[in-house]
Amino acid sequence: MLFGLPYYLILVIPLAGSFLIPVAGKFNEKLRDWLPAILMGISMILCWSLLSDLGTTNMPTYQWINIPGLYIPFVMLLDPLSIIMAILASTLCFLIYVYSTEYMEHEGDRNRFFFLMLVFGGGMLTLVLSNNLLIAFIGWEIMGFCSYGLIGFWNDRRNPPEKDPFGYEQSNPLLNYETEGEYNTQCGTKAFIVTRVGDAFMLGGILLLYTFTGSFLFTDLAKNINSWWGTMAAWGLLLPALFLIFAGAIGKSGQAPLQVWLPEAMAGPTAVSALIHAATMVKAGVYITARFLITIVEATTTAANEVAHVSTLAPLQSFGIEMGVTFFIMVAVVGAITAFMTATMGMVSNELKQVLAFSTLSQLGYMILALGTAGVLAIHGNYEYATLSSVMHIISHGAFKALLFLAAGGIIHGVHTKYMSKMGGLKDSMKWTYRVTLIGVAALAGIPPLSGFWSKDSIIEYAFEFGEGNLIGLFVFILSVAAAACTIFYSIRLVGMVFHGKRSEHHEEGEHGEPHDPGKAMMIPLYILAIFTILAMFVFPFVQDVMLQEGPMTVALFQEILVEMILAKITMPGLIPFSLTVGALLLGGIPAYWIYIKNADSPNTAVPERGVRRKLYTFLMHRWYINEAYYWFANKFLRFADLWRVRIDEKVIDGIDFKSSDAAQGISRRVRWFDDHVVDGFAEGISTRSVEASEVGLESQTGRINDYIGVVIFGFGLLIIIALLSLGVL
Amino acid sequence: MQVAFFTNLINMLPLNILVLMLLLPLIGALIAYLFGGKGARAITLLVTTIELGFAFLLILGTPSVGSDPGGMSHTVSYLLARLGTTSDAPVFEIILGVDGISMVMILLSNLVVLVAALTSNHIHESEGLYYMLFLVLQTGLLGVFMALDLIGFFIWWELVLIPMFFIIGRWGEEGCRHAAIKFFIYTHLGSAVMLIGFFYLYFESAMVNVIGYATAVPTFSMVALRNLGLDPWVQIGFALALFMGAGVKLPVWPLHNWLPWAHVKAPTPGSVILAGILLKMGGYAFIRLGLWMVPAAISRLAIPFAIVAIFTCIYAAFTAMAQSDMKSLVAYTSINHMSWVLLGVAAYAAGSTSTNPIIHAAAILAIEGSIFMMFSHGTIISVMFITAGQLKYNAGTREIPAIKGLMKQAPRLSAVLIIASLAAFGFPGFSGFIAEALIIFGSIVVYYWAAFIGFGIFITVGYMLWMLNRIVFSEPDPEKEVKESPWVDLIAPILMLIPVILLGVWPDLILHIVKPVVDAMLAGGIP
Repeated sequence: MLFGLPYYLILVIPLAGSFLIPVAGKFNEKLRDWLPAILMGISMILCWSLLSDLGTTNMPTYQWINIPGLYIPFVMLLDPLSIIMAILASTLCFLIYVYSTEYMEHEGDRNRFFFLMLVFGGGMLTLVLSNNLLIAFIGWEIMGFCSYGLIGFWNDRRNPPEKDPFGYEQSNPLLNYETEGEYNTQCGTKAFIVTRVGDAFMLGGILLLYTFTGSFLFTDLAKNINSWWGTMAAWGLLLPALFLIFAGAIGKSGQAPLQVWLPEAMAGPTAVSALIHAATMVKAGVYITARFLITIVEATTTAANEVAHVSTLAPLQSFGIEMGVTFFIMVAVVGAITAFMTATMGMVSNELKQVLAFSTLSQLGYMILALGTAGVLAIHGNYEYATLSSVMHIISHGAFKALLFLAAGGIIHGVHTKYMSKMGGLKDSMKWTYRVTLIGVAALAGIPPLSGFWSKDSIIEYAFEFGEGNLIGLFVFILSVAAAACTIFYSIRLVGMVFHGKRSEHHEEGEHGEPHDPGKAMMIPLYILAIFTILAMFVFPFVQDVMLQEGPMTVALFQEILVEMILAKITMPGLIPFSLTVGALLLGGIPAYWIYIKNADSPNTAVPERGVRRKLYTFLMHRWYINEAYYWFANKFLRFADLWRVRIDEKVIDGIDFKSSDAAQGISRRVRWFDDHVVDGFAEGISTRSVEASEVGLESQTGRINDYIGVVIFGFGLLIIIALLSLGVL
Repeated sequence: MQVAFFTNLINMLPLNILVLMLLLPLIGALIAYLFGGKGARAITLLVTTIELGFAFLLILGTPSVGSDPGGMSHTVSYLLARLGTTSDAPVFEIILGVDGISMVMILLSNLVVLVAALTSNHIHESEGLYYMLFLVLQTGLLGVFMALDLIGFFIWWELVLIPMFFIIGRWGEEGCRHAAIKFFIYTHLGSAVMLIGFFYLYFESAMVNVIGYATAVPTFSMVALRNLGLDPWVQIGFALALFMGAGVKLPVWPLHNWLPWAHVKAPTPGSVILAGILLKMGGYAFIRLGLWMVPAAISRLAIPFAIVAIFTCIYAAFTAMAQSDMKSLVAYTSINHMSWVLLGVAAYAAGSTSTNPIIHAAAILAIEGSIFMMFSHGTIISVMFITAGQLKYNAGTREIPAIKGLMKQAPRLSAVLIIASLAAFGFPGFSGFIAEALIIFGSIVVYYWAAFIGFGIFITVGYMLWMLNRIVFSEPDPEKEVKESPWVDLIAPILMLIPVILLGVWPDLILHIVKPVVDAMLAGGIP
């Protein structure tokens, strides 16, 4: 690495440096606010310098736990996927931390905020750079905890929560909040609990895997150590283990059916949302899926089977990747369902950041879909390009989503509301924010030639390839195209509602002044991200070169990849999905443009009071009732638990508790009495008796010399008599 | 744990480091007495800090098992008297030397003494005399852990007793004279029996054979006595005498009654030293004079020792539960915890001779746990006593039912108290847990019925949490105000919590030093 520094510094700097933040806060507030950005900047530089070490396999091993039967070393993994993820995460974290310095300027308790933010980044770097599954899981959990702390960051807000003008009456007593702080806390807790559900499954999967592999190292897994793939397939435990691990990814990346936490994770400060959506957290699930995809493909092509600690039965026959195909189909289907379902939810949401959250979910669905597709295609040996499209989408999505969130943060900062129906007409007053948002939204919608187009369109292409002659594949493909139509609809809706149309009455109350573009520290990250989004097509060849390891970059190679990228869209067989996508874009884009931009000034009449459209609207507004179903179930469970408490716990078990504690106290009083009166009393008694006895002796102490001399002479006489007796004289 | 740099540093010292460590507090005591007042405190803090530095230097620069006889290092001897005219006549001499176990104990005593000196800030009466006694006490303590001969051991052992007697009697609370005398009588009686044991061993070491001729020069040297391989019956005789001396100090039932008195009536620093180190002298005597010197006897007495230990643990836990004085509760907790040390010693003695490798390994675990328990208990109980003493200053009383709502009124003090209580009942992550886990894992393999001591943990958790419930988490009483402790008073306990937590997550720091000695002990004789 740079200057020959040890690799682990990349994670140690943010993780250990986070403890400096409260210390720095004691001395200088400004320094404290900038410290995360500075430390992450250093980490970022180190991450970029990893590019030169690509494919280094001879990594130093640090022993973490080493007891017989359990050897867990800490090794860094520097393969293309890790390096790209590390660069992406560190760079976006860096930009977001810079943005936060201004965004959080007037908030209290920034020690906690910046501490959690920096640890969050460190957790992500730990996850992506660790070669050890268990240590990666630690990074994964660090992120879970930090997201909990950061989403609920404003937990002490006393004001009542802002009312959604388009919202519906909340019937669940669990979900009515007195204050905003309560709501924020609930959102943080929900995110933590829902992701923990996935994590619990994942830990189970990891341990199940370990019992067969005997090693937590990805590199060992890729070598098909203990021939775990075949053995597990023979035992029928392969799919359960993979599904369990994927459950973790479902939780973290908000895939169906655990997507419910992400829309509410918007309660935190916007910088947090950007961090969660663009750089860390939700990308973790995609990363771990991609990591397993690559590992599995490698493991199934390797015949070697080194035997480590655990010795298991050798497989009777050899199994290839086809044993895992059900798993990959499931992955693709989950991704496709998520992509479509959350995109439809995004079409009706009124909260600015929530729309972005739904779009994140939908894009994550695309990424997972691409990975599933890649796994299916791997049977024919061409999984690289589908994986690449997923990785590209991670990158492009990371950039434009960070851009959109940071811009949204500026808007919410400016107009003091989070609901789009209260915004409108900001086009003129927030000129630059408008421009960068437009770029971000266009990329999100997948309009050529912005970054989102290239990645998303190639995902759809591979879905098409998967769909040729395969019913499930066709289903996946149709959903992915439909999701694209929904995406452009809500993208345009977002721009129209926020920037076009009349000024809402809300911010003419005048107390906050005219909304305006935020300051430098907030805008510069936005410009950087916008420039990247526009020029992404020239960056992607580099990514492809790194991912597929096509050798050193030359002008010729660059041209070749670029031309290939463009040609793929306009020649067969890529032309069919491309034209279908364009059709979908028009299908979604034109109505949205008509309603929200062209007629932005007139009131919205797209959804009548009753009828099918209203029903559909309500259905989407309730987020397909999935969330409600969970709450219904949780409520039932709580009722049952309460019943159990009243009937069994309080009467029987508490009864035993109280009785036994009474008994213990009774015994203890008796033992103390025994100790005080018998054991101690015995010693004290002896001493009292001996003092009394000595007092009797005291009477002989008369104090007169004559008496004493008399006694002494008597004694001498006695001694002499004894001496004479003993000598036999007398 | 030997680092060459520190070894060189030790070699560069003008005197033998052990002699230097013993002399420094004595000189400091003289100067402190002459200065009096604030100057005495300053000198005491300076001396104790330097002593702690020396302890670290010693532990970093000395191998656990040295090259001198008996696996010792820095051995030095001073001839007191020769009982005869010929050069091979028996001698009275003071021999000093350290191995891994003693170094750990020396580190602990210097740490506790420094913390006790820091907490002495509430002593304002005849400070010169107080600090003089305090520093003499330190010399005595260090001497006990360095002594390699029985005469020297006894001298240091008694040297500890006298300053402590005065500290309790002069600076203690109401009724402290009675407590001081009780402490003195119990301890002295125990030491007297132990001294008889020492002389018994001395005469037996002449190894008079059947014809009536002495075959060896009688000696007090521990290393020599260890290598003689005395008759087991002789060893048992000595071990019983040792049980009286060390058992009072440890303490074990029924020799424990001086302890609650002395601890409760003593001033806070006195309690800290009493619980922090004086009790460890008992444990150390069991290990050094018992296991190390007369292993055959202890292994024959292992079952009664273990039974006494387990009984003491549960008995003390129950007694502690019924206490209403906070300091008494902590004092009985001390008894409760120190009985674990005896259990570890007994389990080691019984298991170390076994040929079964599992039992053998368990025995090592138990003895390491014992030594670890001594260190960890010394640190944890010091914090407990300091907070108990602090309650007296801040709430005006130490009666548990009378103090309410500490969390709301004194959050800093409560935080320290909570952490210390968690550590005391062996919450994972603190050193107490490691110690209890090591001992119980080791002992259960040797004696399955040692699992009964787990009942002691159970009660300990119960009364600790009950105490916290009543003091810390109750609603404040509006009529009684509790003041928050100033930071000055909390420096010492917070300083002491550092090793508690550090060893809880990294126990190898101590175990690495102890392990080679234990291995050498197993090998028997000269390593």
